[in-house]
Amino acid sequence: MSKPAKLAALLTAAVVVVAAPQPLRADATLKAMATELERSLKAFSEQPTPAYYLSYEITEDRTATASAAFGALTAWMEMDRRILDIDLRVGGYDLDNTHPIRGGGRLGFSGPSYGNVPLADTDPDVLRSLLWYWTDKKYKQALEKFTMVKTNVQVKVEEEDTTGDFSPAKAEQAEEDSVPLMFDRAAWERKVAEYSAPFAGSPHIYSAQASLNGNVETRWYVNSDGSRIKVSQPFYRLTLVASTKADDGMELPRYETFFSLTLDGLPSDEEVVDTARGMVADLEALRTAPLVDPYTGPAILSGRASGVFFHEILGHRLEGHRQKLATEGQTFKKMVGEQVLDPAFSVVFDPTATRAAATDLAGSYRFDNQGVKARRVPVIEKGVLTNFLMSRRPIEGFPRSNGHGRKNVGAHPVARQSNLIVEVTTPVSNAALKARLLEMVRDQGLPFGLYFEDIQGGFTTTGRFRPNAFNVQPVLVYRIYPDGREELVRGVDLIGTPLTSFSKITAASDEVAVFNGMCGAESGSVPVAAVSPAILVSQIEVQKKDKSQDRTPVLEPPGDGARSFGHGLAHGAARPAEGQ
Amino acid sequence: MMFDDHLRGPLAAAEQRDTARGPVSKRTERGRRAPLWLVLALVAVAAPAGAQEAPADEPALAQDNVLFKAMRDELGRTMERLRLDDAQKPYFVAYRVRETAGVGASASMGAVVGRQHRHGRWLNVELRVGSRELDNTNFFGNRFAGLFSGGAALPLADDYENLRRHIWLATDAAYKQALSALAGKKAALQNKKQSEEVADFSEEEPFIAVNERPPVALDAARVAALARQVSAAFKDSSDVFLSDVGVSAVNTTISYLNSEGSFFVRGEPMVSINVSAVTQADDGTELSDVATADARLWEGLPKTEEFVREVETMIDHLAERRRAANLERYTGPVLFEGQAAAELVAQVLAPRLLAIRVPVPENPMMENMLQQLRNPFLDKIGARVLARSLSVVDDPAATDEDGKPLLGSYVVDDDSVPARRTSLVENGILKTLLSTRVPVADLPNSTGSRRGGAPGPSNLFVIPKGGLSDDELRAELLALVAERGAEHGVIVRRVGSPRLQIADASLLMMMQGGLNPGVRPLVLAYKVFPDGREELIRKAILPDFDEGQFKDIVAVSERRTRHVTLVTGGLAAGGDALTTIETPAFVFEDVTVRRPTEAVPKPPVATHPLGVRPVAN
Repeated sequence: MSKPAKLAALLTAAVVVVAAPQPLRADATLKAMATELERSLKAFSEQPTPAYYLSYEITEDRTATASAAFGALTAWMEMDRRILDIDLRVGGYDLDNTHPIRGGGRLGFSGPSYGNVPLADTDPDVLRSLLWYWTDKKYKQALEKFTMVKTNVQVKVEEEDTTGDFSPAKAEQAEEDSVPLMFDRAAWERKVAEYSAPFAGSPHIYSAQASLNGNVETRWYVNSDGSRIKVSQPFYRLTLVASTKADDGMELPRYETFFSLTLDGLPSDEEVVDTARGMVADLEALRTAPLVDPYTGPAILSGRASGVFFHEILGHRLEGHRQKLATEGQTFKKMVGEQVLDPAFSVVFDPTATRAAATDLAGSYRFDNQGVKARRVPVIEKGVLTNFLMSRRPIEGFPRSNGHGRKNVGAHPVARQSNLIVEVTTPVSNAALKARLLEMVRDQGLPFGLYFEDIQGGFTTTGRFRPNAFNVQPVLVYRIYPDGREELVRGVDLIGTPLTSFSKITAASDEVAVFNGMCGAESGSVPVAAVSPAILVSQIEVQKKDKSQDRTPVLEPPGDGARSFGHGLAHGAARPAEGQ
Repeated sequence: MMFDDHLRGPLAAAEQRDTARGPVSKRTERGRRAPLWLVLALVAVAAPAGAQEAPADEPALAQDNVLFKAMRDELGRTMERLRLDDAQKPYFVAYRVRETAGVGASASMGAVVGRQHRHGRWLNVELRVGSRELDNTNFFGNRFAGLFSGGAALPLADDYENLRRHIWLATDAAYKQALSALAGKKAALQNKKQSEEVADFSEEEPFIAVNERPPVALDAARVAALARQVSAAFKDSSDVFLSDVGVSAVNTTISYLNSEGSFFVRGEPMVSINVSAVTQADDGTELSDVATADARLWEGLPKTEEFVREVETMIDHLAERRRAANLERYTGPVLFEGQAAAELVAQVLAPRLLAIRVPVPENPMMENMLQQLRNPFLDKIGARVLARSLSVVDDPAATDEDGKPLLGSYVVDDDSVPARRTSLVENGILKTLLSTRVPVADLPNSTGSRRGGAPGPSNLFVIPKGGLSDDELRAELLALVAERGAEHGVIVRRVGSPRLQIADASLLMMMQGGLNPGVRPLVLAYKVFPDGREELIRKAILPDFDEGQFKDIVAVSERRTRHVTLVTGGLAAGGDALTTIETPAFVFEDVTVRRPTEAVPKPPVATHPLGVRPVAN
């Protein structure tokens, strides 16, 4: 089965906070978890089918969100919860209950195996009672699944990759203080209303929302290896979303997201309002921008577009477990040690990095969801493939985790991306990059090249059943004519297949940009970042975008049309391409 | 329809009803000023071509209720001018705005495990194109276009221009969806002859009503404290494995306006406590129960100590059941008392008393599946469906002994049709069904029973003619047992409730039951022996109990008890409106009761961490 992986749009801003490691002080919750873990493990290891591994992870979410549309508050929400996740394994490292079942027949639904636990650290007995209840449920599910696994292994052909289901890992100890959520309801309500107000200035904007979300995720983690970890990580996100419709029915969205590890790191009100005004101008320009026909030729991808490009076509294909599943395309499995990119390019995944290009990175963490310490993992060195992103599920030649076993609450961890960083040894200036694009356009006798300035996100299929391809969805695309003139266009998606596309990357600029986003795949939605310079690709392909068949609204906007129509539209012409 | 004189029109009637029945509190009495602008708004809406023309008192209206002004102005423009090329104009539009503000907390064993606080306002647009005879609704399109016709999150603030902008865009989307659904429906109907020629939308007198209620205090600290306090009852219990206590206080206000001149405002404050508990018997059998309390305002809840005692009784019963014996199989006379009788009515009989239309599917393969959901009572009007001694009435105006409205009470339904008493079954004979403005064969009009998206009961009364005293009823049961020479009879006092909150248990139940779950497992059932001795049964189900058995009730009690529950099932599923059910106890002559056949999980492997034994003797 193919695994679509989606990266939703998010951008960023300033200020870094790194929680300093604290000496271990036996947090009450960690202590209760450890006590119950030892007791459970003893009971379950004495069973005819013993448990050989057990971990408890409690994730606390303290969340507040305020949303507004066209200048008025539409909703607010505050929520606190702690959710328990249990990884209980029967069998052994070689074969256990988490082994994928081949040939369809997904597991029957046996109910969730996680629940809510007390929000305060003052109720260890209640916590232990709940751990006891859910561990028992989880053990029974594991037994049932393990029986199916054993049968499945017997009736199917031998697997290509015979490495086991789980690998040992070092016990880790860490304890951070819980970070408070900074939330001032009245101020947030005022802010989102103000941020969404500029969209009311255009009669053509049919949806617009500003949303401010704060979330502190605190995780307590204990496992039977002896790991005892507590980490606390705040995220603040401000999202502006607006869309219009061209006369032909095409939906034209614009997204701007600011991400920060601190509330103070979000941009000032003036900056956000300016951004919103810029979005209005872009949307007005996009409505009347010409459509592009399918095209193949050279293109420049901005740093952010290039980040998504690498995330989709490279990142997802380097996730370890995809090299193992019989349903996966395994594009890079046999290419370790081979040249897959221009020798000037290297790619690393680094969850320990917290900041790049004056922006906090969303894919930062200290420990993954399997208790493995985060570390810098070079995957492409001077164009040569050297490594994969590893969870504790081993693959041939890569027997250990490198701290990329990640998940959202309620899901089972698999290898996922963190902060993808593209490094280039011989970058050129943006101007030189554009000059090289124009040269290619002229050499190939083409009428124009393309510049992808901003993207909404993308997806890729890595399976065998469907073509192993990617689709990156740009929202701001310009035609660059041989004389250097730039024209905003609309209506195309960037498509391709991984190996061919990689071989066409020829140069990169000396300025990097950051794309922060939420990445969705089989273990849920996890925050990730991609850091990349703008790149020049000698040949890309674009296809027509899927479009709505619904027309623009029948009636004109109510009242006098827009409240303050005309404001902020003075600079409604196409914006010049970044760095040109 | 228009009103010549609104002061003597339906509004006046509604107000009299309010006063007479008492659902309007003192606070609403003070708020009576509000209806004045609504009356004025009505005039404006009902004005023929000039739906947008401002009434004489426009300024007062604008000041008093911005939301209604925005809805009214956009509705006028829509009815007059919304038209795409040669396509049809809408013939009916209704705006329904549901504003909800609430606080909630859940707790387990005295510790708070979740907290929530939220506020939102949601617009739903009901837009119809075509004609009453054939329109875009009652259609199950492949893309669900026939089911959802547009909505939007509205600003919380009364910002006129902003509200109109959202209403405009939602109406536009609803119109386009309606056109495409109508085209799809016409195409689907082209090649088949409909066996029943039933109109799509009924004609009703326009009606207006203001049913405001004082809001419940959204006190987050109080909600959390109560959840903690109630859940502490489980703290020392080694007999309950997992429990959850949810407390919520929510103010919901529905504001409705349609193109026929109807409108209403209905306030629905609600404070609820929902306690769920699960455990396992020594053979692994999973046992669960719930305890609930609901009221409009905090004062209406039972005293905390009283409710905690109820929860403690529930815990004691779970403990007894863990140690109780199973009943393998029994067929014979069964007495259903109290909550059990009410749940039997709610789970089996009440869903059959609803006139729910089966939609036309776009995909012909869906036809058979949808027809299976058809209510068999649609063909039973005039036939006997209950014992001759029983009648059933739905009364949305019913009050309690103190004259306060019951929890299922309302003045106006979600189509702005006035609530009314409906006699459903008389002396065992089915007279009619509860309906909305979506007609079914032989029931062309609404009974004012739309609750959410479908018809639902309000306060359902099962009224016995005569009836026995409790002792006589029990004696009757034992006489029937003796007549058969059986060893024992069965008395059921509690049946599993649809309000069970614990996720795995209720999900599993849903999966096992599908759309027609039948009767949930029995919670408190007893073998009763000729000498009067009772023996608790661990867990039992009614494997083949259906509505047909209500004809075979052989005796009923004179005394009636009242319960609040949810009526779900079939195409009506999904509503969250509470229903009051008042019913006598019933003796059925032949009911099969047996232990559940599903696989039973093993008892817990590890002992309970607090040192108590999880498995009872």
